[in-house]
Amino acid sequence: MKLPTPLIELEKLRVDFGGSGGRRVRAVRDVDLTIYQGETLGLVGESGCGKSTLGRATVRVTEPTGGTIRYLGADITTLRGAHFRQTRAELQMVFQDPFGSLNPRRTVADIVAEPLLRARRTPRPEARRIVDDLLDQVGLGREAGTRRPHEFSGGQRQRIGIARALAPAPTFVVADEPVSALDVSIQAQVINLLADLIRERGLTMLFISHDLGVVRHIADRIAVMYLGEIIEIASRDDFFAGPAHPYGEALLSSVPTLSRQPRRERIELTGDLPDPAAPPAGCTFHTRCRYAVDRCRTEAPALTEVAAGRQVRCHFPLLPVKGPA
Amino acid sequence: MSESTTTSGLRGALAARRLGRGPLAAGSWIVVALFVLVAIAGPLLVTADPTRNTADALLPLGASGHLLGTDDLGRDELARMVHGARPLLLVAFLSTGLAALLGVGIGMIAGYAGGKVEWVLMRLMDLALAFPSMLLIILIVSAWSPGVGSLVTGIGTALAPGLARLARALAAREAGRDYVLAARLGGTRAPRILVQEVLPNMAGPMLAQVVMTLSIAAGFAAGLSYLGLGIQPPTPDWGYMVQAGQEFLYRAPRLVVLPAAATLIFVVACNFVGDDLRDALDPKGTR
Repeated sequence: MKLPTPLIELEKLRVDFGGSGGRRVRAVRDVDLTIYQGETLGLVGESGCGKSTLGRATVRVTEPTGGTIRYLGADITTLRGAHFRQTRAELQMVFQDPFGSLNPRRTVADIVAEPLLRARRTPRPEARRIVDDLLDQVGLGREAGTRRPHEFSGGQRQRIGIARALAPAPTFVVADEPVSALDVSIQAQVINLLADLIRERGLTMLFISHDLGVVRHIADRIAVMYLGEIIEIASRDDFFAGPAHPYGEALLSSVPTLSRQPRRERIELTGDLPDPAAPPAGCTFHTRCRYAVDRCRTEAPALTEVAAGRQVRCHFPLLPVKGPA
Repeated sequence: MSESTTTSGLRGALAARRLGRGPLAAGSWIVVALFVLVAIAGPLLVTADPTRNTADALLPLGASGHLLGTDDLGRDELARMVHGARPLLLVAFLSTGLAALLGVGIGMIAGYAGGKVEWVLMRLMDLALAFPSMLLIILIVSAWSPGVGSLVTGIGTALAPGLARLARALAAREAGRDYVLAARLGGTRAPRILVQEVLPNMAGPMLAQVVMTLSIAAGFAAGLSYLGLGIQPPTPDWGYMVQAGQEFLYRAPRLVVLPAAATLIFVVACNFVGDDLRDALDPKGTR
């Protein structure tokens, strides 16, 4: 295996909402994260933990409040103008909402061609050819180009969204819960299509989801987010063999299994995600952690490497992997 | 869900025949259409010269050769009514167009840009709204010589802030939509995003408000010419005709009633047409 090269490096990335006065929601809090070329990183966490905001900030559709974003080693955090538009064409996104992410007034071909015409300044005839090919590749067929988004189902619209994201030949794609709005019966088709296209082109992907089953299927590495912080990073196999953070453990125990092994103990998290405008002192997870002790309530743990390629933000990581509980 | 997108917007409203439902709405559309028709084609049909004085002053209704009689200077009242539609409608439509151009432009930029740009632009609009509209218009009109140009500039400027407020709200809503973010990701620049992504998606509610503005503009246009700040005589104009007719209110009330009623009917009809457009374009009304 080739040496992993960092493609995207986030350093102390921070996103605040709500301005300076009053309730300032810290959606993303000093996130350090490296995404390597060619990998698919699964970003998981419950609703409201900031994973979508992190994804959006990575490609700067939401401007970060602080920290740096490096793309291929170059700082793009404050890049502006034509150079920025050029660079960002290589960073694309597939959105969650198949209805809100396509302009209802434009034809599918216009929507998919837009990034080619603008960011890449591709001449129209050539853009047309590329769009036709893309529509074929996402399984809609080039005839779909003359129609408008409302003529398509949710799954088909996500295919349009995928075609648009791939149009400017990006190197990095953020997929923000691309199938969570779809019927379960068509989720797999869309996921497989996305995974295949990403793999064929050797692209890097940040795959955001709250569905561990989907993430297990598609991701090479897993990052777990809680209340705006990354609390665990592990390879997929390590993570599913046994998360090192109690939160990951609880998340994993909630996934139904079909195996005949004795059922894992189901760990129920009580309470809601704490208010991100007033996060708990100490370890942010201590309010819901079943292992929490006094130290967790006062001292915030740092994200530390506990094994090769494995980082955990916990005073008492669940390592080594325990037997069946 | 996909059905709602097919039926929303102006095209959808037309397709679903949701416009002009009910006698009031249908009647208003017809009245507005008639006024426009009269303003455009009327002077071609009524050939009498509305400015030619004759010795037959103050002839009554139904006098031979003068269906609506004559005014105090013996001018044919029918010709004056028909010709008088033109300045009112011209000023109303042009000033509404100017208001829409300014208001939608400013509002859209403010709503999309947000932040300091929005603050500065909208505070300017608030400032303009703080003046009574009529006063602001008179101020602008009297800075020039009275005429179509100054009327349109004055009324258009005074009515722009109201439209800007709506445009700002609509544009701000669209600016946060995923397809706008997608366009930004695709390298589309702000001016093109405004025209291509934002404007078409706010056109429906905006249009309804613009038509409402048309009735207000017509009211102002008539009011100003009544005050003598509008179209200058001898060109016939309903507002001025009301003022000139006041002198003969008891001897020939039609000289006041006819132009006043015509103005009122047009203003009210425009209002109902705006209402109807808004109802037809309201996505909630379709479900």
